Amino acid sequence: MAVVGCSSGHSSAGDKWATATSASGSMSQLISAAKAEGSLTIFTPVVQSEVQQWAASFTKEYGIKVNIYREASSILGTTFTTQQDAGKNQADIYQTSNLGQVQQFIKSGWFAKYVPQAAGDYPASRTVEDYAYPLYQSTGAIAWNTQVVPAAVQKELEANPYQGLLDPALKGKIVLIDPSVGGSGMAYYANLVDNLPSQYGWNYLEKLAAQKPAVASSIQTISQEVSAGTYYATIFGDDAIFGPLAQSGSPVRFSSISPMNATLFYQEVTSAAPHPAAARLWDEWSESTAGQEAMTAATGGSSSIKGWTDNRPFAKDLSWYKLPSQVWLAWQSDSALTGDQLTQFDAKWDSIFHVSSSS
Amino acid sequence: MTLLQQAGPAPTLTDAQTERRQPGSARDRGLLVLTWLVLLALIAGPIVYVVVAAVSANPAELGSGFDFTAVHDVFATGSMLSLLARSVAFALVVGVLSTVLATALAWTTVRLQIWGSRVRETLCLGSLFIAPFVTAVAWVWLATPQTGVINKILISWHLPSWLQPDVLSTYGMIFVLVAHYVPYGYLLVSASMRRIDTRMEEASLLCGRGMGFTALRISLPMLRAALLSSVLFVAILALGEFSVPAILDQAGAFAPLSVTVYTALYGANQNLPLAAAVSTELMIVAMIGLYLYQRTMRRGERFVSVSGRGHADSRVRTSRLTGAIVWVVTLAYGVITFLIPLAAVVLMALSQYLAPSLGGMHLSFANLWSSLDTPEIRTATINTIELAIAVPVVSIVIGIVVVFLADRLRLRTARGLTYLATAPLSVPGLVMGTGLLLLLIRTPLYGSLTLIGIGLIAVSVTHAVRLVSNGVQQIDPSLEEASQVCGVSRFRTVWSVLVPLIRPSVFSAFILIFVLTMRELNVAVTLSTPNTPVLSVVAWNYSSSALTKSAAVGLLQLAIMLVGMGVLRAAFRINRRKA
Repeated sequence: MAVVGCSSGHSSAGDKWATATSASGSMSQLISAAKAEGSLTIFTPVVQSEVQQWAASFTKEYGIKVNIYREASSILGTTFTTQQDAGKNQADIYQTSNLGQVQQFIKSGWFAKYVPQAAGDYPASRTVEDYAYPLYQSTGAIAWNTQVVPAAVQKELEANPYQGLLDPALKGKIVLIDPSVGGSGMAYYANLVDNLPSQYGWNYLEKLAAQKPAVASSIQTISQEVSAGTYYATIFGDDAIFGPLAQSGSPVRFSSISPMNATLFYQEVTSAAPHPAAARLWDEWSESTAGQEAMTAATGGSSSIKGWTDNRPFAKDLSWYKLPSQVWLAWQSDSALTGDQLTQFDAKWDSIFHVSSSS
Repeated sequence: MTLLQQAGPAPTLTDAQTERRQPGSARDRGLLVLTWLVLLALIAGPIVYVVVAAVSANPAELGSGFDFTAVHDVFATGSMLSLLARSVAFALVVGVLSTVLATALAWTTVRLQIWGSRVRETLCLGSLFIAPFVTAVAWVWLATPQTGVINKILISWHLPSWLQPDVLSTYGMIFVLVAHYVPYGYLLVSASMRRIDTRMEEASLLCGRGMGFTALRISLPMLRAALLSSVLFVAILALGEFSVPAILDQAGAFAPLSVTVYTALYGANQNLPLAAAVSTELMIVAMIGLYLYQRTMRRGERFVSVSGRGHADSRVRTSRLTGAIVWVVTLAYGVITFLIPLAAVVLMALSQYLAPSLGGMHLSFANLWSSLDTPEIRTATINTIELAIAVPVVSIVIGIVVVFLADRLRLRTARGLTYLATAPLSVPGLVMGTGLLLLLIRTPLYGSLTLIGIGLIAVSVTHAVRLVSNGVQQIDPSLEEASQVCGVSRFRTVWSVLVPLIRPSVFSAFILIFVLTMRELNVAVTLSTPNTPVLSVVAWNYSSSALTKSAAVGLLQLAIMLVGMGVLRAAFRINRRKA
C-alpha cells in the first residue's frame, strides 16, 4: 500500500532528516534541526503519567515538547492504521508490544529505517534490525493484597505463587485477565500451557477455574481492584504495574516463577513523521543508556541495554523484590500463538473458565 | 365528564387533512432541502458506511469487494440470534424500569406540592452526572460479593448472604444501568408532565374519582407519548452501552451484543465487518421499535394538552405524612443511585491509591490537586466547555427545524427527517465514531476540535428532536395560526410563540445534551487527537494508570456540570414553578 506524504509542512532541514537512516557523525545537526521543529508526538500504550515523567527528562535536555497519545495497543493500532490509510499521520514515534503488528507495519512502509547509535548495545534477538529497538520489558508476576490475604497464604504465594492461587482461602477472590484481550495478558496462560506444560498445562488452569475466579476483559482496573482488596489476588501482576504501586505504599506484593512470561515493548520512527528530526533525536536519546535509565526510573520497566543496572525506585526500596532468573519472551514471535491457533487457544480457555465467547 | 379526546380546542383540520403532506412554499422547500443535506452529511454518511462495512472484505477500503461472512454469522446463527433476543430483553427491562421509576419521581416533583422539590429533583438527576464506567467501577469497589465495602459491613453485621448486594450479576448490571438512565426518563417525562392541563385531573377528582383512577385514566394517557418515548429511548441507549456490562461481567454474568461490538472493534483480533454487522442488526431492531412508536403516536392530537386556553399551574396539596413518605423514598433513591457512588468517587479522587481501609488510602486534597494541575487537563477543560456550549446550541437549532418541518409544516418527506435524526440512537457510539472518522479523516477537519463537535452533534441531534418534538406535540397549532393570521411572519411566529411555549423542553434538551457532551466517551475517544484532548477521554486514559486520577477528572466534570446547569437555569429563567 502506498504511503501518502505527511500532512505537516516541516522545514527543509526536516526534509533532510525525513529519509535519514542514522545520525552518524551529524548529531549536532540533528539536535539543531530537532530544536527547530520544537515538538514531537509519541503513540504509546504505556501508562501516560509514566511516559510524561520520562519525556520530561528529554524536554529538560533539549527543550523539545513531547505530546503523548496514550491508548490500549489495539486502539492505538486501529488509529495509526486509519491515519496511514488517509495520509494523515500524526505519530512521530510508535511504541507497541505487538511484534506481529511491527512486522506488518514495516511491510506496509509505515515505519522508517533508522538505526540509533546505541543499536549495537542491544541483543540482536531483541531487535527488528534497522527498524525497531527495545523500549522496555515488563515481567509477569502473581500479585496479592497484603492486608486481606491471610499470612499463611501469603507465604505460599511468595514461595510458589501459582500453587498459592489454589488455596481455598482465595476461592471467589481472584481476578484473571481474559486472554482474548491479547498481548501480555494472554502470555500468562501461554507460559503455563505451551512453555511449562509438564508442570502446569491445561490441567492447572482447570484447578484454577475451580477457584471461581472473576474474569476482567480490561487490564486497567485489575491493579486498582487488588490494591483496594476488592479482589485478593490476580494472575496479571506485571512488575512494571505493581512495582510502582507497592513502592508508593499500596498494600500489594507480587512474586514470579522462573521462567516467567515477560513482554518486550518496541519503539519505531514513523515514515511520515511530522517532525522527522525530533523523532530521530528522541530515538537516539531514548535508546541511549541515559534515556534508558530515565525510562526505567519513570516507568518501572526494565531495560535490555548492555550494562544497565537496575535503577527502578521500587526495585531498590522493596527488599523482597527480585527479577526471575529466566524470562520467556518467545511467545511474542511464536506463530503457534497467532491466527486460528490463537483462536482455538482462546476457545479452550473460555470453555474451561465458562466464559461465553461473544465474538 | 370531559374526555381527553375532546379536551383541546375545536380542531381546524380533520385527521385525514392533518396526515396529508404539504408541498410547501419555495422558501419552505429550500429549508427542507438544506436540512436534508445537513442530516445526510451528519448522520446518513457514517451509518451507510457502517452498513456497507458489514458486507465489505476490507472496511478500510470500501472498493475491496464483498464478503458476507460476518452478516451470515450475525443474522443466521442460533447463538447470535439468541444473544440478540437476550440483549433486547435486557435493554427493554432497563427501559421499562427506568421509565417507571422516572415517572414516579417526576410525579412527586412536578405534580405534588411538597417542599424542597428542587433538592429532590437534584437527587433524581444526580446519577446523570457521573460517567457510567466510573459508576460501575465504584460499584465494583462497593458491592462485589464477599469483598465489597458494603458487603464487608453487612457481613460484620452477620446479615445472611442473600441480603448482600452482588453487582457482578445481571441484576447488578440492570441496577447500575437503571440508576444511570432514570434521569433520561425523568427529563423526558417531567417536561411533558409540566405541560398537562391540570383542570382535567381536577375535574376527575371533583367527579369523585380517586387518585389512582385519575392517574391511570386521565394523566397516563396524556403522558403516553413521553412514556413510550422514554422506554424506547432508554432501551436503545442500553442496547448500545458497553462499558457497564464490560466491567460488571467479571463473574461471567452476561455480555450483551454491545460488548461484542466493542470486542470486535478493539480486541486483539479486530473484526470490523463483525462490528458493523452487529451494529446493523442493532440498528434494525431500533428502527423497528421506532416505527412502532411512531405508529402509536400517529394520531398526535390525542396528546394535545396545551390548548389556546390558559390554565393554572396547580399542584396537588398533600398531607404531611404523604410529604414525609415522598421525601424518604426520594432520599433513599438519591442516596443509593447517586450519593453512595459519588462518595466512592470522591474517596478515590482524594486517595493516593485504593486500599481496603480508609486509613490506608492517605486521603488529602493535595492528591486531588496534583491529579488536576496539569497542562493537559487545563487544555481538555477549555475544549470540553467549548464543546458543551456549542453542541447543544447547534443540535437544538437543528432539532427545532426538523420538528417544525415535520410536525407543523408537514412537508412531503419531512417525516423522514425525524427517522433519520433518530437513527444514531440505534448505532453504538463507538461505531458511529469510527464511521465519522473514516468519512472525514481525509478532510482538513481531522485533528480539530470541530471534528469532535461534528461527531457529538451527530449523536445529539436525536435527543434534541425527541425532546423538542415532545414539547411541540403538546402545543396546539392554533396558537401559531393565530399569530400568522395577525400578519406575523412564520420565522417570527416560531421564535416568539412556539419557542417560548416549548421552553421547558428546550431547557431539558439543552441540559441533557450539555451533560452528555461533557461525559461522552465513545465518539470522543475515536475522534480526539493528541492536540484536542477532552475531559472524558483524559479520564478514560487515566483509568489505565490510576482510578484515583480518573475519579479526580470525573469530579472536575461534575463540578463543571453543576456550575453549567446553574448558569443554564438562570439563562432560561427556569424557576421551580415553571421548570
